[in-house]
Amino acid sequence: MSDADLIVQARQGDGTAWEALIQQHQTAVFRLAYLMLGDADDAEDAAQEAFIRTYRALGSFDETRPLRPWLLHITANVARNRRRAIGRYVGALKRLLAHPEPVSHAETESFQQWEAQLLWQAVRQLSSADQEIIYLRYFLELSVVETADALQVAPGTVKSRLHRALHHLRTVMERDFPTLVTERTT
Amino acid sequence: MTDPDPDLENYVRNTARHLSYPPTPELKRTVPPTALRRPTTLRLLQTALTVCVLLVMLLSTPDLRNLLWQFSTAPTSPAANDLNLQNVRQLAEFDSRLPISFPVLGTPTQVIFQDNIGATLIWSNASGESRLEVQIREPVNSPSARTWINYRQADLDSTANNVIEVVQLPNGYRLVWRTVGLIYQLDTDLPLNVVLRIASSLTTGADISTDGLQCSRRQAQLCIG
Repeated sequence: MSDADLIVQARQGDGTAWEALIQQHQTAVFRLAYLMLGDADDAEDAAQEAFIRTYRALGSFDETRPLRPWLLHITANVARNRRRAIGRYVGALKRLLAHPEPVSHAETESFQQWEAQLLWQAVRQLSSADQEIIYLRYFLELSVVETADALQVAPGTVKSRLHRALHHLRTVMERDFPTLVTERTT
Repeated sequence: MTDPDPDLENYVRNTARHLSYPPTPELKRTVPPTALRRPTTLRLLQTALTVCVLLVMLLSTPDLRNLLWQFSTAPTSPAANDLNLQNVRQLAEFDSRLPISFPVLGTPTQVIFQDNIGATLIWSNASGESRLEVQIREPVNSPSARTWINYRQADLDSTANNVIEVVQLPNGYRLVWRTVGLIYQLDTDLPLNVVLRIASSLTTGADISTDGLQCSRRQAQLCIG
């Protein structure tokens, strides 16, 4: 059954349809929240809140449009608000900027996981806007159109913002994560 | 120059795929749809009906109804300094009518309102001496309205409207009379025929000549209508 059908049924109070929608999108929602907040418990709370908000706004949603970008847009808003409200992330980020926590290769199951962890640390040093577009486009692998939908901007804007975000990322990698630069060129 | 660097883009995408995330929690268990439902129209109607039934039950109890009525009609007393004829008229909820006779009197120099006494309108002369004092109040515990004349309690017969008790005071007169639902008391040092015209115009709202009126010093019948 398509998202559109499930949305129509969920609007009519069909609990099973709503659960099916959650089941289908919970991984993307939880992962975006986790990437933005850096904590599994916070991410779970944010994901719950995002689904609650989505349900309440379901009446005004055009079911002919894809649900995932809209859901991720709400999730990003919730995560951003939580980060701002709690101030926890800001403090953590400041500490991270001052002394980047080294990720030991032994702590990760594989070399690729260790490298991905390092990359995430590098991305977390970027601005919120740069982080969000990189998470959506490369970590969650949304298309340019979906990313544009989630950020509520034009596809052309997504491309220019990605260009800028990657430029910033390269600067951070070269300055604080030389290992990543080496791995990239080898 | 708006397309992202394809090499870096591929590197980031391929590397990000290997990031290990915590296991995704089962959110459908923590976000049950029943907890999210907004109040339906039916539920709103049920609530409205319950409120209506409670209201009817409240209003069907005489004591509660009277209490509610008292609360809803209780006048708000203005600060003493702000009291004027307009305030008194609002507070008293009865017509604190000014005498039409002798318009030179103008508006009262002073107005007083007390819950148990009613409205008192006082006209003073330039020296501040009271020349005319009109007290208007609603009778308490009708039918027999009680008042005090020369330190003696007097009963005003509720059926004998507009019968004036005229009392000679050392320096003037006191007139007490009753209309439908109101008791008037007028203390003055003005001549009796003037006072009777004032009393008449207070009661009827018209300037009635008392020239031919035979008024005993004890009691007078105003010519109404």
